[in-house]
Amino acid sequence: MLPLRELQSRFAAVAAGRLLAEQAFAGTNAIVEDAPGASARLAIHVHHFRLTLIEALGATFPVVRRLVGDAFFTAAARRYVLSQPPQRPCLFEYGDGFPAFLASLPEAGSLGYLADLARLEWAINRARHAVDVPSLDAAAAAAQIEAPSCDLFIGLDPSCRLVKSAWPVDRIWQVHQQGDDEIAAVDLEAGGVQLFIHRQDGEVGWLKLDAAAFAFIGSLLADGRLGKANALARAIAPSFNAPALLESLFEGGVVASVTAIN
Amino acid sequence: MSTLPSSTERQTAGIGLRCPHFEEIVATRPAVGFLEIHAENYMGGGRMPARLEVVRRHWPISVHGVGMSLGSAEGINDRHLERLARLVERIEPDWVSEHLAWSVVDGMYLNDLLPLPYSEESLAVVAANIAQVQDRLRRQLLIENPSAYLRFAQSTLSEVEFLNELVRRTGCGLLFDVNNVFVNCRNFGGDPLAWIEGLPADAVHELHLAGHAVNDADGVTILIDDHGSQVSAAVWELYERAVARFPNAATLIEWDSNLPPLPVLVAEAQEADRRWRSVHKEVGYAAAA
Repeated sequence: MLPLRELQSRFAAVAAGRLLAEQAFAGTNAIVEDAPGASARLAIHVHHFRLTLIEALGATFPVVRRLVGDAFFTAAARRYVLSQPPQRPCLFEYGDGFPAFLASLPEAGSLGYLADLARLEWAINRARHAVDVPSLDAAAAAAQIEAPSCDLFIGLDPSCRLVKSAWPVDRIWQVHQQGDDEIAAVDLEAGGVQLFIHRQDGEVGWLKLDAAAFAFIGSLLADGRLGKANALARAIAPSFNAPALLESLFEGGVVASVTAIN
Repeated sequence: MSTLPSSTERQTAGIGLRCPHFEEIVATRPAVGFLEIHAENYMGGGRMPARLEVVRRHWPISVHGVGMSLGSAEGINDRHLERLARLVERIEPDWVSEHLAWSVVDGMYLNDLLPLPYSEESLAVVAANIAQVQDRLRRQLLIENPSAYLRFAQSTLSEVEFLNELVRRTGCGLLFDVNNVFVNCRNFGGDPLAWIEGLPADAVHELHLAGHAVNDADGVTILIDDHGSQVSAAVWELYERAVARFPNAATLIEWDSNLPPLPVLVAEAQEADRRWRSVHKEVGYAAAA
C-alpha cells in the first residue's frame, strides 16, 4: 500500500509528464483496473491539468495568443505548464515565468517583440489583481514633499509595474484589442517604449515615460528613497523635474505612502 | 452565520456568480436565493473583490473554495488559509465550503479536485486539515463529495462512511453534490439512493446541481462532471429524493464551462425551486408559495 504522500507525488509526476502512468503505479496495485484501465482513467486528470492551465495562460496572455495563433500558443503553453506548473491555487498569479519562457523558444525568434509583449500582458495582469491598499491623504503628503526636512520614503501602489521594450509593444497591444478585420499596421521601426503600468479606480492603464522618469520610478519601486531616485534621474537628465512627476503620481492615486526617513 | 435565510425562504435556489454575468446580475437583480463564488478568484485586489462588495448588498453569498487541498498529506498551505480567512472576514458569507479532494503536492498545484483513497490514513489527514481550517475561520466548513473517474484499491471505507466519520470527528457540515453522486454511481456502480440515506441529514446544508458530459473511453462510457450543460433528467429525479431527505439545505446551480445566457441559469434555479416545492407539498412541509 502506498502512503498517501507517496501516492500524491506519483500522481503529480504523471500530470507533469515526468512519469508515465504505467511507470508511476506499476506493481503498486493502487488504482483499480476498471475498464478502460487505470492509465486511461489517470489520463482524464492529466488532460484536465494541462488543458485548464493552458486556458488560464491564454486568458492572461490574450494578445500573445492572437499573435502566434492557437496551435503555437497551445504547444508553447503546454511545455511551460509541464516545466513550470503553478505553485499556488490562485490562477491569476500563474504565468510569472511565461515571458522568459517564450524568449527562450527558438521558434519564437522571428517575433522579436513577443517576449516583451508577454511582459506587458503580465504587468497588466498583475496590476489588475494587485492588492488594494488604503488611499493616501494626498494634500498632507504633498505638503510633506514640498517642504522636506529630510529624505522621504515614497511607497507606490502595489499595482505599479514598469515595462521597457525596444519595440512599440504598447501599439502592438492596442491594435490587437480590435477584431481580426480591424487590426491596424504597427510601424515596428517606430522605436521602443518605457511604460509605467498601474491601476486607477479599477482600470489598468499606462503612461509612457522618458529615460529619466523611468529610472526615477524604477528606483522608487526598488528602494523607495526619494533622494536616491532623484539623483539617478538627474544623472540621466539634469533637467529632470521630480515635483512635476510626483504630482502626476499623486493625481493618478498611485502613491500609497510618504514617510520621513530619520 | 449572520444572515441565514429563514426556513420558508430557504428553497430559493442560488446560482454561481461568473464574470460574464456580473453586469447583468447587478442590473436585472434576478430572483435567486444566493450567489456562490469561487474563493480563489477573489483573493487579489481590484475589480473582482469590488464586485463582490456590490453583490453582497443584495444577496447572501456562499464562498466555495477549490484550492485548499484538504486531502494533501503534506498539510494545507498557511498562506492560502490566511487569504481565505481574510476573504471570509470581509464578505461574511452564509456558507463556506470546500471539497473532499486534494490538489497540492511537492510544491505543485494540479488545478483539479483529485480523488483520495478512503483509508484510515486519509481520514486522519483530511480531518486534521478540516479542523485547522475551521479553527482559523472560527466557523463550520461544508465538505463536498467529489466526482471520480478512478478508484483506489487501498480504500477501506466507502465514501459515505468517510464523510460520516469526518462529520463526527470535526463537526464539519456537508455539501451534497447530487450530480457527483449520480456520475460516480454511473462510473463505478452503486445506488445513489443508498448514498442519500447514508448521510447524516442534519449535517447537509447545501446541495449542488450541475450538468455532466458523457464521454467514451475505449468503448466504456465515463461521465465527466464538467458543469457545462443543463441538469439531466435523471439528476433532477435524484434531486427530488435529496430535498426530501435534506429539507433545510440550500440549492445551487453550478455552470462553469459553455456558460449560458443568465436567463437560462436563472431558469434552472427556478426549476429547482419548483421541484423543491412539489416535494415538500407532497410530504407535508409548509412551502412558501
